[in-house]
Amino acid sequence: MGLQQAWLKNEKMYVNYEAKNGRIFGMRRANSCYKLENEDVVLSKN
Amino acid sequence: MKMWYYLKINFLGYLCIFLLVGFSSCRKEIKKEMVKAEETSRVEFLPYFGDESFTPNWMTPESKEEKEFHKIPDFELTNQLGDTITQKTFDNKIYVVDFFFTSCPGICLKMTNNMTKIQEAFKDDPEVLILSHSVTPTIDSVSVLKAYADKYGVLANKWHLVTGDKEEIYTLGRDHYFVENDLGEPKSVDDFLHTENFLLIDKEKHIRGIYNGLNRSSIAQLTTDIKSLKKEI
Repeated sequence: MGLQQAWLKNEKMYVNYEAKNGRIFGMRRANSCYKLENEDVVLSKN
Repeated sequence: MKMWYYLKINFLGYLCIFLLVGFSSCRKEIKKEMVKAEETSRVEFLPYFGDESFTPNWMTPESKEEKEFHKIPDFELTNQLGDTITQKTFDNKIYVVDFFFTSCPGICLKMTNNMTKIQEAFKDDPEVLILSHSVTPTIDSVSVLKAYADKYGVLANKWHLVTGDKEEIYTLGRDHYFVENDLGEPKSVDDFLHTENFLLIDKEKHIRGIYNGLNRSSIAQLTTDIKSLKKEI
């Protein structure tokens, strides 16, 4: 119950949601789809 | 001996019937519970979201606080028919937002399929619209968007696939809808970390929900929350 938060090592918030009345409100960190660089899909990070 | 045998058979028969009836009624209960869970938003008013942390803000619609809260600003984009789409298009509408690109090799297709479920659920409801922004607007021209719309059964009066000025789309995504999960990495206008989030926007242009566009139960919750929002105002 209440606010649930988690951070990455770089201090960026990773999880931030509130559990209330049996459901979750807010952000459960989504998985990224594809990173785009200049509209090109970047499939792997150098 | 024979009588014991018949009694045993009868007993086993009744036991089977009892278990079958009990099991099927249990299944009905479970089904009812599942439907119930999706029938309500479980709060009187959905929360408001005003920054990239997506911390829920609990306030009352029409309150002074609500009136001053973060809103999606005006924009000018072009849809799959070549029509100009602005905030005026969404006046007095509840709408669902996502960011996609037609050449997406992976999850966009699943997101589009799930958005199709939202379209289907509200296809006869003029109060509810869908707005999908291309994050590769140079590639996704009007004709490319039209072909994509035709392929996936996008209804032109319900679901706007939009292209336009790249900087405008990226600024909307990053600074107003907060859809990008940059995980602390600095980004330029040439970068975009595309995610599967869907956002629910109310008639006053406030963000009222964030949902995983790949998750079936999240989509069911989004459908329920749209219905709650319709009752709210």
